[in-house]
Amino acid sequence: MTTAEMTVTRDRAEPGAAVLEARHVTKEFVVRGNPFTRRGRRVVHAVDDVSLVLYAGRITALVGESGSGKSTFARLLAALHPLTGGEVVYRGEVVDAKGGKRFRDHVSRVQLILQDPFGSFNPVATIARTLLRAVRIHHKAASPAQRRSIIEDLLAQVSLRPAAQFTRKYPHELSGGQLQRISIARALAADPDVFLADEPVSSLDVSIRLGVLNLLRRLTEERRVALLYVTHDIASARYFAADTAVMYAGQLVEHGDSEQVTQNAAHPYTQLLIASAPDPSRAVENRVRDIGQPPSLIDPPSGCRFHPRCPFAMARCSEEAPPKFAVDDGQWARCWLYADDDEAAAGRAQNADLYGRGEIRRAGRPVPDGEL
Amino acid sequence: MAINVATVQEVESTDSVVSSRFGWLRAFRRPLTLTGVIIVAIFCVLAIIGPFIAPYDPSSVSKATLQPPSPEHWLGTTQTGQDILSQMLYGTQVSMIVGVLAAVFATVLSVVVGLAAGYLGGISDEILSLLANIFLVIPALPLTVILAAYLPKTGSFGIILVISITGWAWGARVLRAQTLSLRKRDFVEAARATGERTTSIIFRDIFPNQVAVIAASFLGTVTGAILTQASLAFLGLTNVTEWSWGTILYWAQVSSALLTGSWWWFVPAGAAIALLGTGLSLVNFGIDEFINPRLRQAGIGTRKAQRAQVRPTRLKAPRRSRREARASVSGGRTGDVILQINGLEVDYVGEGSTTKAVNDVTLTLRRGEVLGIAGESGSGKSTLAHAITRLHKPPAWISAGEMLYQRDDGTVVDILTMGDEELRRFRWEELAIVFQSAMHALNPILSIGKQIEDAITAHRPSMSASERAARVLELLDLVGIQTDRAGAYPHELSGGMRQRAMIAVGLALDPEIIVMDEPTTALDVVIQRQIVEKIIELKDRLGFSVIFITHDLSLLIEMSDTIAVMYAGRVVELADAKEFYRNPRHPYSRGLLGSFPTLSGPKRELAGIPGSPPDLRHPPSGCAFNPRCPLAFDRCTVVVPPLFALSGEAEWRQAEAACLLYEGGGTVPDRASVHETDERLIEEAR
Repeated sequence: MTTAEMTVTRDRAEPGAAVLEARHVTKEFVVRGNPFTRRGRRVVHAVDDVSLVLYAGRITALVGESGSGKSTFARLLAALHPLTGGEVVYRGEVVDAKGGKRFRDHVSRVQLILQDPFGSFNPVATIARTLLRAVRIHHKAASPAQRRSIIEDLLAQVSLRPAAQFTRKYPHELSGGQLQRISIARALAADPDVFLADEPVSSLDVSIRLGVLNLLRRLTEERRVALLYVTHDIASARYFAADTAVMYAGQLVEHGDSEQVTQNAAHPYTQLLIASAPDPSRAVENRVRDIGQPPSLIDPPSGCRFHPRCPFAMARCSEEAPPKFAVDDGQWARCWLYADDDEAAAGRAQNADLYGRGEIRRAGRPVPDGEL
Repeated sequence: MAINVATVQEVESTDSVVSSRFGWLRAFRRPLTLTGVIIVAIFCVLAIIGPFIAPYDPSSVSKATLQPPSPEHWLGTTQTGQDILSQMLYGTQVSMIVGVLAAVFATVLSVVVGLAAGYLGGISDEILSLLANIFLVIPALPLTVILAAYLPKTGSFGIILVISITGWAWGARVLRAQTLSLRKRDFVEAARATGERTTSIIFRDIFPNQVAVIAASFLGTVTGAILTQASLAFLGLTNVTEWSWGTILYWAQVSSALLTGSWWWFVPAGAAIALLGTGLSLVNFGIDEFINPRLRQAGIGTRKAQRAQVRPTRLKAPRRSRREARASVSGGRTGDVILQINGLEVDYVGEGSTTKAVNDVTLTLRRGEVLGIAGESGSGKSTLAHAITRLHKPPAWISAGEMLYQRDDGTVVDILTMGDEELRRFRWEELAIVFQSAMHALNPILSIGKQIEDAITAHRPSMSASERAARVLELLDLVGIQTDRAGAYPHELSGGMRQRAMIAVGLALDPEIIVMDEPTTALDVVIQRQIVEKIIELKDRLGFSVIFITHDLSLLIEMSDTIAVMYAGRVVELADAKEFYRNPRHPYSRGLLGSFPTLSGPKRELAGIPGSPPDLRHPPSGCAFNPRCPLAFDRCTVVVPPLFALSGEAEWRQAEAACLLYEGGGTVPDRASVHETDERLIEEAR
């Protein structure tokens, strides 16, 4: 039996098939106050009614600022926190990760890759020990010699050769890029269907980010896994992900094809995000004045959560949360600007003017709640 | 501070050739630790073989009463003629057994309670913590005395029990706190995400990282237990016919050895307790180096580095004489130069090696200029920022160079030769610093208004209170903080507001230069944009110069007038920002620019740079970039290229690049041809 046969055991979903699906996922964290009077007990609405589908062999980016709930959402998909509402569906079955066995089954299919490679390794264990633990969990029947060859194979898959040069080392002896590759190898040990990469390159140097991202892309395509790429860098989403979802204050505000979302953003928040990103290639100075702050998730604004910062806010924005409006092929935005009436049309004209766009967008089609 | 440490780690973190298999043996190289280990080992051996080598039965009486030390009785005899050496040898066994066993029980108890409380959390944490707290507030000695008095006086077991019951609570609390902090660490989360069982996480992730603390608390408890046993025995609360160091002291006391001047009776036991305690403490100090693989190799904290700390800032002769340098400051087109750095070198002094973090850096800064310094981790950019402000800490020290600052009145001073008082005035009044982590740089217990006022009070004592208050409000308004927030504490402000407050503190005394070390890195892009625009607006209004340091090249190009790219401690390219973006010359700069995804315009192929940044402890020969360079040729591994002047447009300064491709002035290839060759070579290199 070759090592390749040992590590690739799961039958793969067809490319493009839905693998992991979040349906109206909601998470509230309770901040404990006084245990007797219950005063000061507050609820943080970290993730609010988020629905997102991850497809086999496809990269989906989840973009947002810190505190927007994007990392919490990734951890909910990994079943590291219990859900407050909604459900996570894996290949058509609702995930129930209560209890040790079922939780371990779930994590063997859905693997999380963390942001900080220096922090995500036990500092007193060698790389070999760390990898061996993961291999032991997911290849229970393997003999010690087989385990060793599995580890070598894993390291080869993340382009770390020869393996012996890395296995004997402690985490502090390796560079950030090497460690992040090893954490990908650790995730591969489970032979997962889904990778949840939480800012996998943001703590790495710019010159080595590309290598790690390309590795993730290669693995996604070769192994037909679904990849959720959580990031604050919308420019990297444009290059790396097929689809992009934008999150603000715990809610998805826009979703669509990455090129479409970055080049033709519909939601005012996405537009602000793009206008704020440093980009010397930008020709015109189309700056939007923004003095706002992300809202408190304990007491979020009524209606649309972005309305206190939005330059195009209308009266209804503070009263009623906007539904999804399909604005273009596969692109939707949760924004009242795309309602089909005169006030919204005026707002769209103002929007096009402010961003120096020639064409004024058309009104969107409201998407019924059940449709994703 | 945090930044300083990070910089050291940057330098240390890359590959090391040292195999760490037997690295823990290196801990013995510390003489103090070695002494401690030897002392403890001797006592352990004596405890085992003591009864066999004892020359006499410790309880047998003889006629030689109260004899001082003699060849027959090396440590003399007691009032009843018993041999004190034999008593000591038997006593070592009992005292050590009591000490070690009590410490084992107490440590096991504290580990179980501490880890369970810390990791499980919730209600079990509350109950266990309450228990530990109750045991902590019970006065230990009286309880011990009472318990010892009630427990049967047969053997040492009762004593061991008493000591462990009263001694575990402190360790449990420390371990609980440690576990709580470890539980939140990423590698524990990573282990959970891999599918590890809770027990496996506790025993393999949490426990090994606490071994140092556990070992330290164990050794401390051994000392404590031996002392407690001695005290109890001395008070006569144990079986006084069983020989231990305590009972020897008891009998010496009962027989008035002090009054009769028979020092040999009580001194050996007292000395043994003191010596063993010292030995254990010495081992305790060194214990971290046994456990922590990072400390085993790290050069920080070693004596050599500490020596560098006390070394005064006397420097090797600078490369250029003062007169020449001054001429260059005031002469020609550079009349508005405000800061001139010449041949600056900063070393990290480690054990047996010196790492050059900043290597022969020469830079000029003009009035009103924004100089951007770009570089990856380990490139020396943060070290440079700290050196410019002279805030660098050991093991970093400036080994060569000069930093000439030109005052408004035309006088020139070298920042490196300033005395403490002069330096204190220079900082903030002429040069201010804004760091990455505003949360750590601001004092959490003072309101931001008060902190700004403090900076003014310290430097402008003559200013009246009302003037100061007006100035504080003016500054807050300047950086865009609502003036009614002056009474807010740092934790009440968002990250962006804190960074604004830091900038307000920096601007309080109208400095001429502001050094900003990654001031926006911890912030989100939207907030970053607000801050950067504010900085530029203030610069245009107030006319100060900025040294802006970041790894984000896109941001740097947008906001800087000129850009210096650092690689492995050297400046490899220096150019106007616009020219740099249009036509980067150094292959590293090109690789860096080619690694950034763009938001507008058509998508282009991202190239990236193969390999990883060099280990500064073992830098490559010749040009430090040559192992990663797609255009490297033979001579690149031999010659360290200096900065060559380049052609092209220049508004602030003529572009320069440290690359042999541009050697020989006139033969600088133009953009198009170089670009073509690049593309081809990069393609081939793949």
